Amino acid sequence: MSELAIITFRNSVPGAQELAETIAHNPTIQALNQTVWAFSLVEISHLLFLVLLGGATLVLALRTLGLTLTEASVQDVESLTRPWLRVGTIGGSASGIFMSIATALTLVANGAFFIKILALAAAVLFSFALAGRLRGSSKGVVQATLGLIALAYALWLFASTRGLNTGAMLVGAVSAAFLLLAATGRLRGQDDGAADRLSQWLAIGTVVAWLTVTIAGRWIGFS
Amino acid sequence: MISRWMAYLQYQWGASLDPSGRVDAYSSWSAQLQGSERWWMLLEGTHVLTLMLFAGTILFVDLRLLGLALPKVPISRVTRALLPYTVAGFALMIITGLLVYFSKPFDYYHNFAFRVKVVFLLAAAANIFIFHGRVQASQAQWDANPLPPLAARRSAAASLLLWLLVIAAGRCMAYDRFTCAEAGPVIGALADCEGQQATLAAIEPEVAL
Repeated sequence: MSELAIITFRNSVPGAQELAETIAHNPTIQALNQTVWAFSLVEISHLLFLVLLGGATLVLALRTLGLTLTEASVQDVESLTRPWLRVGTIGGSASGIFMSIATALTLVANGAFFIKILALAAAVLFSFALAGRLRGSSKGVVQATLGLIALAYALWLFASTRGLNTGAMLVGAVSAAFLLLAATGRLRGQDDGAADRLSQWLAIGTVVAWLTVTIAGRWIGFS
Repeated sequence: MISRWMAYLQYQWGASLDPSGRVDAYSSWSAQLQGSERWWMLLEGTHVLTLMLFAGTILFVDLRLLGLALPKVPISRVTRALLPYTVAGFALMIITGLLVYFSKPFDYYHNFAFRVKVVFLLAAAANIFIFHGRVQASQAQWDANPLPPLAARRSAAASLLLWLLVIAAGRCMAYDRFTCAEAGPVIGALADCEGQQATLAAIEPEVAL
């Protein structure tokens, strides 16, 4: 695959650079940047919220695919994981916004950050669509389609951008392992009582999207 | 003694000699792992993901033990369903963690946050042994109870807290103020930074750093 020039918010969203400069030159933000302990605390919280989010997403996806907790209904597992998904998403986003504001000038020119935000949009769309369907809604096709477009674009950028494609390799390897697990479960006939086919694909999409968010986030630090 | 072994692992193991006959620290296996950009990124990225698999699934086992999740499902069924994922996550986390450690064993040994992390890891391991040895012995009597006995809930709460502290301490290892380069007097003493300097002085005649 030919490698692309890095796509970032600076070179793809008009006004993004000016906004980042305004944020970076704000005296309150500058003071925030000097407060080392506050920034560290937020970084640690961000990781802990991600762990919550990852665990809740994985458990719900595995149950949707009939691969764990089959003693409980998918609705019960959805209710169980819902508060943790919300805490993880809200806490992860709040701490992420804090970190983004404090490092706006760096992030606006960072390709991995652009990919992370795209994948985040996909992950949120998939998660909402999956939760809605497991609660009895027959909708979700539009959210799933939009999520798929955002995720496909994020993964294409990840795989074809110089310096970032190792991250895409990791997403690919872990996603393949997860798909294999899902397929093995189906072959074993363990999906009795599991959700409908679209919900199962949404569960897989949710895991791949959150994986991409996490790995792209780590690659912000590497790039 | 341990400091010296860690210095050997980081600077000398697998290293070649430079033209002056001294060990070229940058050619050691540890330095090569740290310098192999692609492998290093894959290793570190995988370590973060295994953390999510391990801690993310143990969260729901502990919540059931606390009586806060799936009260109608017996505890043994919840653990049987989730623990294979937790154990797989733990095994991968330890393997990748050891490899990450091997990339800078001497620096990590003298990192205050790493020492704190090891203490919390040992405490978490002790908590697991206590749970299996004492609390779980009577599990048949309360397996189906929506609210397990106090000892089980205490063990689950300790597990959640300790793993949270392990993750937080692990994140702190990346901050310079917990390394000997920027440590204050207290943290420097707890990380044995004087020992680090002594080790570096001792290997200096034979190792080109």
